[in-house]
Amino acid sequence: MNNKLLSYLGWFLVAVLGAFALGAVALNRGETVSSVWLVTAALCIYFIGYRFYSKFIAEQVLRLDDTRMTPAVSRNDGLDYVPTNKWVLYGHHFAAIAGGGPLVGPVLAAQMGYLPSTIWILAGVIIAGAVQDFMVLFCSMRRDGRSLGEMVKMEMGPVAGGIALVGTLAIMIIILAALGLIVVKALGESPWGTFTVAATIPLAMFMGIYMRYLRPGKIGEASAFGVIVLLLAIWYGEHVAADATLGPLFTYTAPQLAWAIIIYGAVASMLPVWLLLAPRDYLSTFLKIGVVVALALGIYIVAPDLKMPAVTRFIDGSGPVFSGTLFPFLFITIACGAVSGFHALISSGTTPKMIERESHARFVGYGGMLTESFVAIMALTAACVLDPGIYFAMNSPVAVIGNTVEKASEVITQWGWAITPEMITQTAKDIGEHSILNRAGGAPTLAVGMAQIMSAAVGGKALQAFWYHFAILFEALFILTAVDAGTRAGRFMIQDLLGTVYEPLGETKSVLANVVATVLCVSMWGYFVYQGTVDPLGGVNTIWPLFGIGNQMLAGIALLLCTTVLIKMKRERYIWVTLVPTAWLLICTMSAGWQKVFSPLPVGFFAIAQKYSDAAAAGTIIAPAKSIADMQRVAFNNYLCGTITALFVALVIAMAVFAIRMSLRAIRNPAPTIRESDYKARDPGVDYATSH
Amino acid sequence: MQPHTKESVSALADPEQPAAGAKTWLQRLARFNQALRRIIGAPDYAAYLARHRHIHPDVPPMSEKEFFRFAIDRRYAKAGPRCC
Repeated sequence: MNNKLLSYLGWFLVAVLGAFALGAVALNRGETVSSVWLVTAALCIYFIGYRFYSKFIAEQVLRLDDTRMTPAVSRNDGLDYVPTNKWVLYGHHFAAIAGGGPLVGPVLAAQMGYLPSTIWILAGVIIAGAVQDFMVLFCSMRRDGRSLGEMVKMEMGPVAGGIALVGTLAIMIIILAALGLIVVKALGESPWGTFTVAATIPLAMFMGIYMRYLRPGKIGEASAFGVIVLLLAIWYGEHVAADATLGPLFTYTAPQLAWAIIIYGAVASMLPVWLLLAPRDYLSTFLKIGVVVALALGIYIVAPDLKMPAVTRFIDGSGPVFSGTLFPFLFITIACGAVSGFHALISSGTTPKMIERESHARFVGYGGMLTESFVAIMALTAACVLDPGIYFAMNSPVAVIGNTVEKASEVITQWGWAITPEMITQTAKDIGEHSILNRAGGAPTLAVGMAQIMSAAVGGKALQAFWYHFAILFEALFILTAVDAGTRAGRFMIQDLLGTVYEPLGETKSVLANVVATVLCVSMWGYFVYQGTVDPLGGVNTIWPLFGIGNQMLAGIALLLCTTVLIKMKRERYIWVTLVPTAWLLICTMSAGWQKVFSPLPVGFFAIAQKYSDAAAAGTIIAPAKSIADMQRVAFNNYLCGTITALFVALVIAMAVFAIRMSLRAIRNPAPTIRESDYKARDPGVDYATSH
Repeated sequence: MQPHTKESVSALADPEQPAAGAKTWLQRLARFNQALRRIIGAPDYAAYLARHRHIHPDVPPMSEKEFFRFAIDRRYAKAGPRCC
């Protein structure tokens, strides 16, 4: 009784601290707020959400059953199915879901101020994102670790399964394009960055050979060596950039880098996995976890003030970073940090095959996503501790602020954030770059924010350039891994689809079929990367909303599956748990999709396309386009993006129809119609993760 | 750095080993190392060996080198998409 009382008292204190911190963040107008309040409020909300809501879902809604064998135990083969300690699995799952998304989305969304983003990241993860990850993990765990596509097919029918496959492929192409573009934008005209990123390729290959031939299986030795060489490469990069002969060798324009990453994607995804993909994956995972921990410590040690206002006037949709009003575009832009459809693929990938007992799914699935959300909060913090003038100089397109510091400072000062050309130049100098203008895409902004926080903690101003390039390298590393792995996965999906039309193309062992599918996959995402560098209106600003709509659409599909499963389990009284986030996501994606298709300027893709193609036909050129060819390019790309958006919306509607049909049928049936693996009893007292 | 020697493998894998209290620092290091490998998704030879002995006691297991090649290819050949 005493213990219980103490526990309640403890949670009451967490709640009070959280409320106080949130109050400090939300109500303190007119004077700057320390970022520590923001981070503390987030942590308190995570703890409370985990302790109460996820417990409710685990015990009442899903009724996790520790007397039931998990696939890791029943199929334990020491290879794919391995019962794993819950903390270790949490680490594994987090490393698998954490990527560029939660870093980029919040940085772009910061243009509306820190408050709207914070509220959505926190509310979204508690009611939608973590619920989705947890429930998909649960569904897959009850079905021998089947993938999302297979589960959709099982529970919603083969046509729905096919639609989910096409949808997944489409969003994967878009995410690869967005990620590729982020790297390209970060490395353009930056010999220091380009050198360090290029250095990771031979380094990873050496690690691969080391682990396969020199000292087989010695991942620790190879990774330790890799991290040390990486740090040396960053240090040496400064000398490369300053060198009269080496410097130009690593200085490339954005379109050149776009070609480089396209060729890289094609070649890397056809190399044996042990040579490049696996070693760099290990390296980037270590860095990822290290950086997340270091950034959290950095924020608490340095306690920087948030310089961005709580809410900016750009909530009206006139912002330079992305166009569109707060609803629905803030939700579309933040994406991964609050809810990410991609996680449904990971939660139905390796993780469900490693869960030792059912109750662990709560900590791994729900807890893992809370941690991802925390990364998003830190990314938001890093963007908002920057001087807003610097933030907008980095993230606004050329079309709005021009490409000279004088013009940029003039425009941004008019917006109400006083900034001198000297301040912009000085910031670039501090981080060892020629220019910070028009570096939209999140990575550089985050890197500058991180560099300011980390250098305040360790090394001072002298190390700021080092930390900046460290942050760029850290992001580029896992983006290149994602490009490599994503192109491989895309190739398999394309071969799956092609195989149904012409059988030999589906043969995964055929070199010719592999090359055909790889080239197809690379050219699809490569097209967007290249256009993002040459289209006067293109870039991350244009492709990110498309990515956000696709990602949230995938989350909608996953949550529709979870809703259908709940109904089929005869747990109808709890369907609000998935129905509320599903409805919200559908409302957001549909209205964003609708606006992107039908809205007038500057939001609608078709409106922009129309304007440019009409003008081109009349022979007039609208800035920032410089030629009729530019004009036609803008028009075509906007028609294309509009069409893809319409396709996404159609996919969501089709899936919703399937889900409703299946659910109605299941409601009419008095018995559960769920298709789970058979129940096998186990002794909950035995820990299979430690005994074999 | 990598204490996957014969001794540490059997220490990790053998269910007859005395529980928690009797762990030496070497065994703790081996556990920590195993945890790190699992987190980054690297193959786990000790787990494979233990399971293999259990399921197919009469079939000789792969050597560590063979297993490592087999498991890496298998994991990444059908690797799903990486997260955004």
